[in-house]
Amino acid sequence: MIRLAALVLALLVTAPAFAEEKPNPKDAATIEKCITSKTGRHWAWEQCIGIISEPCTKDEASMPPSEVIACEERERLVWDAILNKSYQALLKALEEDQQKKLREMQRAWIAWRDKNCDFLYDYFQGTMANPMIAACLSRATGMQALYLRGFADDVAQRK
Amino acid sequence: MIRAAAAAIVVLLTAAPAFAEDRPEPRDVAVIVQCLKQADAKGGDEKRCLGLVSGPCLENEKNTVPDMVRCHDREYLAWHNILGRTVQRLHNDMNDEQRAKLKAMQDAWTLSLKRTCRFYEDYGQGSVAGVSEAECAADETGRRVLFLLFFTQDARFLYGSDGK
Repeated sequence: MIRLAALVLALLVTAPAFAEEKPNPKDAATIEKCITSKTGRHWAWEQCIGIISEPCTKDEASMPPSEVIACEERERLVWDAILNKSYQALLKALEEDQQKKLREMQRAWIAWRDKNCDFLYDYFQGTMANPMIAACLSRATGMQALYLRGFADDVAQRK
Repeated sequence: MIRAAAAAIVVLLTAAPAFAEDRPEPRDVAVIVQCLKQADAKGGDEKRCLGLVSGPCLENEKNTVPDMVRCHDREYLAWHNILGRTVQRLHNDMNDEQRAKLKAMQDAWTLSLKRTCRFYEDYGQGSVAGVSEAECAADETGRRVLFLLFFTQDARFLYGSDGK
């Protein structure tokens, strides 16, 4: 957790454009368009993960770590917004007992995400892990956003 | 030695989700391991190894809902077996501090997996909730293996030094 905090601090220093924690509207539109173009079960949506960060980091080998981190952060912010919107929509539609389960599930996911991505630092034991941590956070957030979005869309259709 | 062995057992136990306790079918494990082996050799996409067992099983048009759950359970059990071996391998290669982090991470994953997949039931999808829950457990366990294989650098330990 401390290392994640250090990474966030590094992002604030190296990427001031993203310090406000709001996604770039163009990035958000790109991902939204991707999601809505995929029909069927949400697994097809997974193809939408990485569509911002991958082109952004295509020259990763020659990029400074701070730029790679900023690319991943650009994408993470979009997924984070989708995650939060879906979570709130779902929370609003559920009954009290289900809300409790949703909160417990989300808390467990956050604890896992932090330990999971922080493990990259524990394993590689160096700042080289920071771009990997940023990618890990972005991908994990994307997967959870899509998972919650599936329920949120179902709630919207039931109305 | 005893301490290390006991710690390894604890890690394996805590890595095990409580969805099913049956043994995997050896051929199911073999199919997935073969896929991981090929992906490893080619430096390719391991994600295509997900669903290799449940996919063909689900193609049977006569499948009932319990049959569909069993298809996903077969896939889950195979991945769970591979996960145990993968965690063991990582554990063997780590120092004590890293082992503690590995255990904490796996504990957190196990809880998250349980609550995430259980939520299909909590949400109330009716009779298909059980299928979604089983599919979730299988898929997440497979993805867990793929994530951890990243740390082992290769998947060769899964099929032995002779490559079989």
